[in-house]
Parts: sequence; C-alpha cells; structure tokens
Amino acid sequence: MSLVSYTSASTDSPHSSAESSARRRLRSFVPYLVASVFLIIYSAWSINKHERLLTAGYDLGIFEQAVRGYAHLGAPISAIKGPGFNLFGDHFHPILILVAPFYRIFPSPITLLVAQATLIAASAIPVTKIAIKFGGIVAGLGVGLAYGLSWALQSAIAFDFHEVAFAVTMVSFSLAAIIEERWRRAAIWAIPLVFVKEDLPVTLAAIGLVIVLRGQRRLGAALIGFAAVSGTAIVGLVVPAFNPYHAYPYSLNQSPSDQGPIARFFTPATKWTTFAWILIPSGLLAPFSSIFLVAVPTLLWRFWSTNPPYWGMSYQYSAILMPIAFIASLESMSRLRFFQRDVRRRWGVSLIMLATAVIGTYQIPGKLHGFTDGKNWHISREVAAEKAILRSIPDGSTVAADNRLAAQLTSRCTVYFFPGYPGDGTDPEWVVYSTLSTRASPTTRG
Amino acid sequence: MGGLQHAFDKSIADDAWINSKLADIAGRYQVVTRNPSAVLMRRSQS
Repeated sequence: MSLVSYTSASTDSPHSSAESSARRRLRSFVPYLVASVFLIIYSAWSINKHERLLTAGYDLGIFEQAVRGYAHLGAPISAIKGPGFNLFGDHFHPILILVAPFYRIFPSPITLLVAQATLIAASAIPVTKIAIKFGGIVAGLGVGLAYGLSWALQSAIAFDFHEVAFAVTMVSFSLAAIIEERWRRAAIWAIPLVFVKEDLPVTLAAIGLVIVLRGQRRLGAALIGFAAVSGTAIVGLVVPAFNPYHAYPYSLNQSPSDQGPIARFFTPATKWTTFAWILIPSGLLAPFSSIFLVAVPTLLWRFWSTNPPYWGMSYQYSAILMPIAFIASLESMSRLRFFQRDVRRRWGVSLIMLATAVIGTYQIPGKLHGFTDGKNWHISREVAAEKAILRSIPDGSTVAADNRLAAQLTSRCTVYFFPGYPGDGTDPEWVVYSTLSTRASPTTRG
Repeated sequence: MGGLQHAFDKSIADDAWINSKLADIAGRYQVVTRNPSAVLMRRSQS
C-alpha cells in the first residue's frame, strides 16, 4: 500500500500549510531526545543492578566471557557453561563481535549493559519517527515514551545482557523502512538478524513475506530464500558442529508432547496473558497491519515450546515484539484515521498508550519503577561484605563462583560455575559463593 | 541463554546440590574468609 493512502499529520496545527524550519528541526530532534532519555534511564538502572549484585553468571557472565574472547581475537569460550565451552555450540550470535572493540577499551560487564541500553534505546528512534510522521510531534513524543517504557523492553533491561538487543534495533529500523517504502534499506537492516540468534532467520523470512505482500516480490523472495538457507545451516550444521553432543541443544523444547497442537499453543493461560500484554501497550491494533506477521515466528516457537520460561512476560523474550507491535499498531491507527488532524485525538492516543505502558510496568517482575525507590540506590551492608570478599581474589585467578557472584568476576578472572565446579578434573584456585538470596532469580529482584 | 532454566533449577534453588558439593570438596579446599554474606575458599596446597 502506498503511503499516500495513509493519514499523515505533517503538522501539529490543522491550519498551518507549511512547516517552519524550527518545527522541522523539532520533528527531527524528538526521536533522538526520546532515545537519549531511555539510554540514560536504561544504563543507570542496569548499572545500578550490577552494582547491587543483581546481575548473574547466567547470563551476563556468560556473555561477558564470549565478548572477552572476541576482544582478545579468540573464540567465544564460556567457562561458566563448562571448561572450554564454545558458545556457538549453544546459540549462534556472532553479532557480539561488534561489542568487542568497546570491551577491549572498557573491559567490564558494564560495557555490555551500556551496549544493550544503547541498542534498545536506539530502537525508539524509528518508532518515534513513524509516530511523528502519522500523528505529529505530540503524538510522536507520547508514543516514543510509551514504547521506551513498554514492559518487554523493561524486562530485557532488568535481566542482564542478551544478544536480542541487536535484533530489537534491527527490526525497528527495518519495519520503519517498510512503512516508508524504502525497501532496500528495510532489507539491509533485516539481513544481519541471522547473525544475532538462530531463531531469527525465521523472523527475517517474515519480513521478506511482508515485503512480498507489499509488492516487492523479488526482494522479499530473496530475503525468504536467504533466511531459509542460513537458518537451516545454522541450526543443522553450525551449532551441532560446536556442540559437545553434536546436536542443536534446544530441539527438545520443540519436540512432541502429550498435548494436542491447539492445547499446546493456547494453554496454559500464561500465554494469553503474554499475548494480550504484547498488544495492549501499543493500542491493540497491531494485528490489523501485515507488519504484525513479523511477530508470528517468535510467538509460535515460544508458545509451542515445552519450556515454561518462554511463555510468560519475564526475561528478554518479548523485547523483539515491541517494535513490531508498535509500528504495526501505528500503521493500523493511521489507516483507521486515528491520527486525523484533531489535536485532542492525537493527545488522547499518546496519553492512553503512555498510561498502558506504565500500567504494564506493574505486570512484570524486576520492573523499572524500582528506579524511583531511593533504597534501590543504596549498597546494603550485606552486599558491601560480599564485595569485600570478592576484592580479595587476585586478578587472573581461576574461580568457581555461584550465579549471583560470577558476573562480578568475569572481567578479571577465569570463572567457572559453582556448584558445578570444582569437579570433573577442573579445580579452580578459589571457590566463592553468596549466603544471601541464593534462591532469588535475578529477574525478580529489584 | 538457553541454559537459564538449568541454572535456576540447579544452582539457585537447590541447596542440596551446593551442600553436596561442599562436602565433596571439603578435603581439597579450605575456608579463607567467611562473613555473614559470603564464603571464600582456597584450594589446598598439596
């Protein structure tokens, strides 16, 4: 569909026929303002969690070991996963190489946390731009803030570091390019998805399908073909080649179960709750745009999986769905003339989306609203005592550390996972473990 | 990271595994520092 069929608010005033240069500058500036605000918030919150020992070996420590390997021109080896374990035998995420130069300069887990904050904050730029295009500056600002506050992005920020942060940015820029009918740009942003994680070639294929449906058959078909070949090679050849058992380790999650296919997709109710909360923050209209097809592969593999953490709202699994839901919903709203040149309606849309984003915050553990609680900016006596013990471990040591403490050591020691190790012929020089909160998941704390 | 569930089940929620490991390494590691928050052990020189 051509852009000319959309309701596009080129100005915030129904009476102005031409934008002033100041207004044009403001329209250009607002997306970057929104992204900058969230870069600061996301960075501050995730660094704060790390300083309060609320990050973990699984997964921040594992990813830091991988990036550390790249930074020293080596393989992505994670001793936390096992002595000499190459992470390509677990997941395929060579995109992490891009973090390595920064890590070489700033060798700290905080580098990964800031990289993630930057990537997710940057994904707000195209979402806000599209919202401004359709609804004007006020609506764009409101939608941009609603997007940045959306629960799934918060869940990702609240839980360590994950490679999917790259995908959130790529999908956001790619879908915005589709809306603008800049097909080649959409493809360029989407193709590197295959280097982010092995489930994302299917998402690339879905982007190709959307492009086909919008009349760009050759380009869309080429993306689908590339996605099929690369996805098959990654899951069928690359990951098994590096895996100790020469298999893709998560295939069992997709294996048959006692449930019938309908029951398996739609039960338990957790899946409905998650699906509803994917649609709610963006205004419920996302399924009325073909852009929403891009969300389908992620929803299918997660809900088909036998692994319960994939079904709910915790962890990072829904982050990639937020730019899809928001951009799809914006397109639907535009087609339904939600953004007619009525300032009150545009204010209304953006305020409702902002309100639902804030309400959504209360649906997830580890939520960002803890940001406003002063006690969360204080290092407790207990945490200070843990840190004191960690400081007594010399740089360059080999350590078996528990999940809570591992990510505090990975930048300066070779860290194994306690209580998995010591054992099996690997006896690190040190063992360190916390006697606090060892039962609490990092996603449910603070 | 797909190892997540394994880690949460085994490391965080299972004190029995931790206690079993501590019993297993008791002869090879000795406690260097213990405070109310954490324990540090060092491999014995042999």
